[in-house]
This record gives sequence, C-alpha cells and structure tokens, in this order.
Amino acid sequence: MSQPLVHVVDDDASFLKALTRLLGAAGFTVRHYPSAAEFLSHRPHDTPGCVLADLRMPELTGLDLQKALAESADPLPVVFLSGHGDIPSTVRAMKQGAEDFLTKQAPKEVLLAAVERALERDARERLERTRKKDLITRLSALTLREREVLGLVVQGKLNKQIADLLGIHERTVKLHRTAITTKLEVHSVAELTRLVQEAGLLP
Amino acid sequence: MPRSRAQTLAALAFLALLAPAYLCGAETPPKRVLILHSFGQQVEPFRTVAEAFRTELSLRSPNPIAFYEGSLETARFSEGDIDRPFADYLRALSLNQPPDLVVPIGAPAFRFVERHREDLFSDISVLVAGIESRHLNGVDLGPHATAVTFSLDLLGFIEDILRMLPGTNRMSVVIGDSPLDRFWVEEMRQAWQPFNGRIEFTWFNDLTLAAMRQSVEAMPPHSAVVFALNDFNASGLPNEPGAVLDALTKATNAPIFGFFEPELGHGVVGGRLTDVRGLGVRSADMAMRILNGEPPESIPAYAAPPPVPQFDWTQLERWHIDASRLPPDSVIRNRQPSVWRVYRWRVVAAGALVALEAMLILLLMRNRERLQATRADLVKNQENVRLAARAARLGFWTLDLDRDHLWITDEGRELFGWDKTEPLGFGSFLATLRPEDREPTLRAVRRALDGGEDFEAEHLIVLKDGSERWMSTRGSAHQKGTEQPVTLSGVSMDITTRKQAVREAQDLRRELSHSARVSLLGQFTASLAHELGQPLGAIRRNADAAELFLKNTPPDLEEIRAILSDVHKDCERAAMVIDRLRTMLRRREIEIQPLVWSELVHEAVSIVRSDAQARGIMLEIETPLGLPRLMGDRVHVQQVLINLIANAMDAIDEDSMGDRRVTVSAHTENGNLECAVSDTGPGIPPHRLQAIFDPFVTTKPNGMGMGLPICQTIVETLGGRLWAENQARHGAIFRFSLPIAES
Repeated sequence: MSQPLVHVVDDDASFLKALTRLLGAAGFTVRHYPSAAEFLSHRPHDTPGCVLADLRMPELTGLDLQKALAESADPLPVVFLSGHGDIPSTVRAMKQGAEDFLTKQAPKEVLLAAVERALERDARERLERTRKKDLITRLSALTLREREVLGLVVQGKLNKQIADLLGIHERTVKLHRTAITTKLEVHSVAELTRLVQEAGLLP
Repeated sequence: MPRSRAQTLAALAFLALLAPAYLCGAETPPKRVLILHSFGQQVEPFRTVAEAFRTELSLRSPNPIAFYEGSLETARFSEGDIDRPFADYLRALSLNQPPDLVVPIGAPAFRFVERHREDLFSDISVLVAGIESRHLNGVDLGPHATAVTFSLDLLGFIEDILRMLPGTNRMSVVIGDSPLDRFWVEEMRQAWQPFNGRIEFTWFNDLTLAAMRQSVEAMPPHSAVVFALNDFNASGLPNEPGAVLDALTKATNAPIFGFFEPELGHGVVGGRLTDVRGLGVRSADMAMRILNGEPPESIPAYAAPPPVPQFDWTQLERWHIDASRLPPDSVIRNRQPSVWRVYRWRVVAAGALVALEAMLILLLMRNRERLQATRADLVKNQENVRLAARAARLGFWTLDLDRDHLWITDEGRELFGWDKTEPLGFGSFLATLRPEDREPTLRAVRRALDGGEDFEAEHLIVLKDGSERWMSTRGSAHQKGTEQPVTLSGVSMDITTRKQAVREAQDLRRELSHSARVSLLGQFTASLAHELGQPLGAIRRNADAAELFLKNTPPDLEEIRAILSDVHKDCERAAMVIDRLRTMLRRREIEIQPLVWSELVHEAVSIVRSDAQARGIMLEIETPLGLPRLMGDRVHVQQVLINLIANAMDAIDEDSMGDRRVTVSAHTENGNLECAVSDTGPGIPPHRLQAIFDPFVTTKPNGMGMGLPICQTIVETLGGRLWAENQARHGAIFRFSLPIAES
C-alpha cells in the first residue's frame, strides 16, 4: 500500500502554502491545488488519502468538489475549511458526507486529528471497496444457471424446492452449489449469504 | 292837463309818421291809406294786425301806397268829446287830399270812425281790420264799409285751463281800466258766471304794475293768471311791447294764460290764441280789392275761424302740465327738440368738438394722474429697493477709477464694516480681502476693465473686528465713448448664510453617504470576515508549522525564516483589509483625484467577492486595456460600485434563470469614463426606471430605499450621471459616467 496523500485545495495561495507547510511538518505527504478543477483533473488515482478544501472558491466551490469526488470511482473523504463557518453551507456539506468542517484558524491539534481521521476512514473504505470489487469479480465467474441457483439459495430455499422451481434434477442443483462454493471460496450458506449481501446483490 | 297832453302826443305821433310815408311817393300818385289805431301803435294785439296789414298790402299792391297812421291815444281814458282835436287834424289832412281807404283797428278806432262818419269819412271806404265780433253786435257798419272780425271764446278759455289744471280754483285776471277793458270785464263776468263757486276770480283792473307783480308773486296753489291786458300798464308808464307780460312772467308763481298769439313766447302757457297776424293779412287782401275799385259794401265781412290751441313747451314744462291733458289738435311751440332739428349739424359739430375736448381733457387728466401715479410708484419703488437692499443685505456701489473714489450705499458700508463717513477708494475694498484673494480679485477686475465686460466673484472679507463674511460681488465696467472704462458699478451681497447652508447641505450629504456606506458594508460582514480570515488563517498555520520545525533537531531555520516572511506578508494583507474597511467606514471630505479604474474595481470587488462566491454568483470584471484615469473620490466611487454590485446580486437572487452573473465593465464615451454594472436578474419594470432613484423606493423587504438616491447624489457631486437601463435579453444594467482625468 502506497503512502497516503493529503490534498489541499484553496484559491488563497498564501493559506494554501501555509497549510501545506504545516501538514508537511506534521509528517504528511501533501499535494496542493489552487482550485477544485485543478485537483479533480490532476489527482493521482487509486491512492489513499484525503482532501482539505476551502469551502468558498470561485467557479467550483468546495461543495462542488465534494459532489464530483463522491460521484467518481475513487472517492476521498473531504475536510472542509472555511474562513468562518456559515450554517447553510455547513449543513449541506455534512449532509453530503463531509468528514469534518473546520475553520481555517482551528487549533493545530484539531486540524491534524481531523486529517488523521479522514485518512483512517479512507483506508477503511478503500479496503471495503477492494473486498467488494474482489467479490464481484468472483461472482462474475459464475454461470447464468449458477447465479439463478445462488439467488434461490440465499433466499433459504431447499435443494428440492430449487430443483422444482428451475425444472432440473435435485442432483444437478447439488452440483451447482458445489461449483458456487468452490468459485466463491466459501464454506457455508451463512457465509455465502453475507457475501452476496456485501456485494449488494441482495436487497 | 291830461287832456292837452294827450292831444299833443297824438298830433306829434301823427306828424312824425307822415314824413316817412311820403318817401314812398312816385310819378303815379300813391293810394292813401289811413290806419287808425285804437290806443297806440305799439299796443298789442293791434300792433301785429297793423304791421301784417302794412307789409302784406305793400307787397301785393303794384302801385306804391302811402300809409298814414294815427292813434287814438284818448281811447284809453274815455270816449266822446275828447277825440275832437284829433278829428280836426284828420279833417285838415283830408281837405288837402282825402285818403282812399280808412282802416280802423280795434273797437275804439271803429267807434271813432263811426262817430265821425259824416264830418270826416263821408265818402271814404272803411275797412275795419280786426275787431272782436261782440263789438259789432247790433251795429251797422255803415256805407262803404266792410270788416275782418274775430271772436274770443271766453267760456272755452276757462274750460281749457280746467282741463289742463283740473284743481284750479283761483284766477287772477290782469286787465286794464280803460273803457274797452271795462267792457271786457263785464263780458268776462257774464261769460264766467257758470264757474262761480268753483273758481274765485280776482280782477287786477285797478292795480299798478308793481301791485300786480306782488300779487302774482304770492299766488296760492291751484291758481292761474289770465292775461287780458292791452299792453299798457295801468300806471301809465311808457309802453314797451311785452313789458307788462314779461314782468309778470318773471314774478309769477302760477301759470299765465292769454288770448293772442303774439303773447306766445313771452310767458303765457298758451290756449286758443287768436291769430292776429292772420287778421292783418286778411285785411290787406280785402283792402287790395277796395283799392282796385271794388265797393266795400259788396265785400262781405270776414269772420276769422276759431283759433287752433297753441302752447309754449317751456311753459308746459315749467308748470308740469302733461301734454296729454291739452285740448285735441293742440300745437306745441318752442319745443326744445326743435333746437336739435334746426341746429342739427351745428349741434353735431359742437357736440363733436365738446366730445373731442372732453377726451382731450380726460386724456390730459389721465396723463396727469398717471404721471402722479408714476411719481408715487417711483418713490415707493425707491423705498422698496432700499428695503429690499436692506433685507437682502445688498450694497450698491460705484467706483470712479479716475478719482479713485468709491461710492457705496449705507447698507454696503455696513456690510463691509466701513463707517458712514469714512472716505473710500479701491484700496479700501482690497484691504477687506484676505491677502491670498487680492491678486485673483485684481485680475478679475482688470479683465472686466479690459474687456468692458461684467465680472462676478465670491470672496471672503475680513471685517475690522476680525470676523469673516462671505460676499458675492457683481459689477460691470462703464465706458465713456471709446475710452478705457473709467467707472465700475455693481452690487455686493452678503452670502454668508447661503455659504453656511451650502456647507450644511454638504455635511448632511456626507453624513448620509457615510451612513449609507456603513449600512452597505454591514451587508458584507460575512464576506469581510472571510477576507480577513484568509490571512489570519495562513498566519496561524504558518505559526503552527514553525512550532513543528522548531522541534526538529537541528531546527530548520531556513524554513522558519521563510515562514516568518510569509507571516509578515499575511499580516500586511490583513492590515490592508482592515485599512480598506476603516477608510470606507470613516467620515470624510470628498477628495477628487485621478484614479485608476482597475484598482478601484479590484478593491471594491474584494469586499463583495466572498459574498458572491457564497451565493454562487460569478463576478466578471471587464477592464479594457489603455483605459484613461478618471477623476473622482476613491471611497465614494467604490461605494457606488459596491452598492450597484450588491443590488445586482440581490436582483439575481430574485430570479436569475440559471445564469448567475454580475459584470462590471468600463469604456470611454464622449470624453467621460462610462462604467456599467449589469446583472442576469429579472430587470426593472420600464415604468420604474426613473422612480428607483427616488428616496424610500425599494423592492427589498429590509431595504430603506436610500442606496440608489445616495449613489446618484454621489455621482452627480463628482460631476457625473447615474442611470438605469434594461438589457436586451434579461437583467438590468446600471451605468454611471465620471469625468476623465486630464493626462
């Protein structure tokens, strides 16, 4: 796993420089961008990290950045910084899943803690995303008939019932189940159900 | 004695009258006509009969006629033997050459002829000319005789009077005391018997003229005077035609009625007046026939018709007798309008002349009045001017440069703080000025003198007590011919209060624009906090970093030095924001100086930028290259800009149709810098394009409606103009112009 990156986005060059300097001194690897657009087009992909963004910026604001990031395949947690907090922006930011909302003059400890928390969350979410991706890869190895069977298994249907529903022999159902557990590397129906749920295949 | 006197008189009269009659003589012996008067030749009514007779006969006769006239002066007193001397004379005359015709006029003359028919007039033709018919009652005219008669209607006479003046109950009869008079008194008494009891008659036959006059003077009301006198007064004064009647007319207080036409116009009201002239004319007619050989007895006596009632208009007026009460067919003589008829053109001409003169007089009087009014006005005006000058604190003055003499009104002396008697010159005026104002004032005066033009200056004067006073002085130079002007005259006015008012207005405006600015900036506190938050945040983060760097061993001094440098910069930046804010919030005088547009806009936008970002509004600044500098006051221009941008953003919040954009631009236009702030809001309803600049007009729930009026005042104070338009597509555009700085 590569070193996490802290991305700092602010249209105020002076503040951008100071923050980059602080985070660097605190031991983070920092990348800085003068605008949201700059960040969105130049950030490295599949790299853990987090974003510290000014809420008020010309053209794309902090909230725009957050929204674009959330819709991307490779989201990062966002910590908002503001010259001063105004309530409507804060509420909107938090609703959209902002990691934190800080004033630009927040104490160093609060700021650094927020960055740590954001990075941890990124790591956790990133792992999750990897697992899910892996699962989906494995599920995609199943044949069409195997997926049908899997669907009915996780619904708690017995082999006999499945055979009746699909109009196939009960022994054929057993063969499909063996193939599924082999391909998905699971050992129990409970484990299988959890996996399918995690993959988001079940409602 | 009376007797001999009467004879002498008669003889004298006869002889005197014979002489002129002979003058008419010619080759053929003239016909001889003897006229016999009853009393005297001048006694009416016989005088008129004789005159008409003579005139008519002379005119009609182809041959000359010799008239002899004699008067029976005696008839006045008595008849009978008394006429013998007169008869003797006539006889003597007739023996020599008897007359062809004897014409007695009146009853006494006829009686005389009758008496002396045998001895004097035995074969001579007789024509009785004018005798009252009563005298011929039962009388034979005799041989060779005929007559012209008339009748007096005594009854009708009284009836007429009663008809005109029905209330009449008293009549005084003016009559003489001769035998003839006595005859008539008797006739009248007889005739007027029916009126006894109704009318009281008084007879004046025994009164003197003076007594008669006294009587008629004091007539009671409802009285009338009957004039029946043959024209002599009873006292025997020399007879003058109309003398008695005229005297009575003047005295009487009652109307006078008479019997004969000649009396008309001499004071009688009128009545059925006998036409005595007509009798004379008729007699002449008959005399002509007799002289031509016709025997008199073959010519029937002529009786005059009843006379036509005639009245004197002036007398009717005098006694207030209504014309409607006159007898039918009455003729009114002497009527005033007849004057008009007779003298029409003379009256018109005279009238015109009178009118013209009246107009002239009127004009002259009007002119005189106007002159007087003008003079009064002038005096009043002078007084008014003096009062006005005092009230307006005006001083009139004239400066004679040749003599260096300054004349100025007392008010003027007071204004400049000069004593009433102090002699003054141009120097006195210069001395009141502040030293720094003297040179420019001198220049202005010199310019006026050189160009012969007017000058005007506002200047501060310092009075003797050290107090200051603002004066406005206007004047003009006066030339004598083509020479250099030698006098200046004009007016100086104390404008201290006006200056104070102007200053107060300026103060007020400054106060207003200041409070507007404060409230405007209040809208941008969030934005300003953000502006200030940026450098403060940077400083804090740098300080944090420095702390960390210091913990390293060895400390990274290079990095710390860089940090300190950045901290300095951010401190300056924060200070600038605060400075700007303080400038905007400070009360200040307007300070006009050349300004760079881009700097102005940048600073103004820095205040609103953050707010615009928060509201998702794009702020576009369009600054063309090579824009000249403008003249204005930095803070005030920025205030206008911020206000317009704030309004634009509010308009966008109202309704923006997705595009949220405020554009600030500028370009040169007609020697001015024209700045525009446009928005993508809903625009301004066309009917409100003007009204939005009125105070207290606002569409905002919390607005005071003072922003735009104040902006307009600011721009106008800076010598520019502010107005609003709508953009072709959507949104409003506010433009203001400001003068360009001279390069």
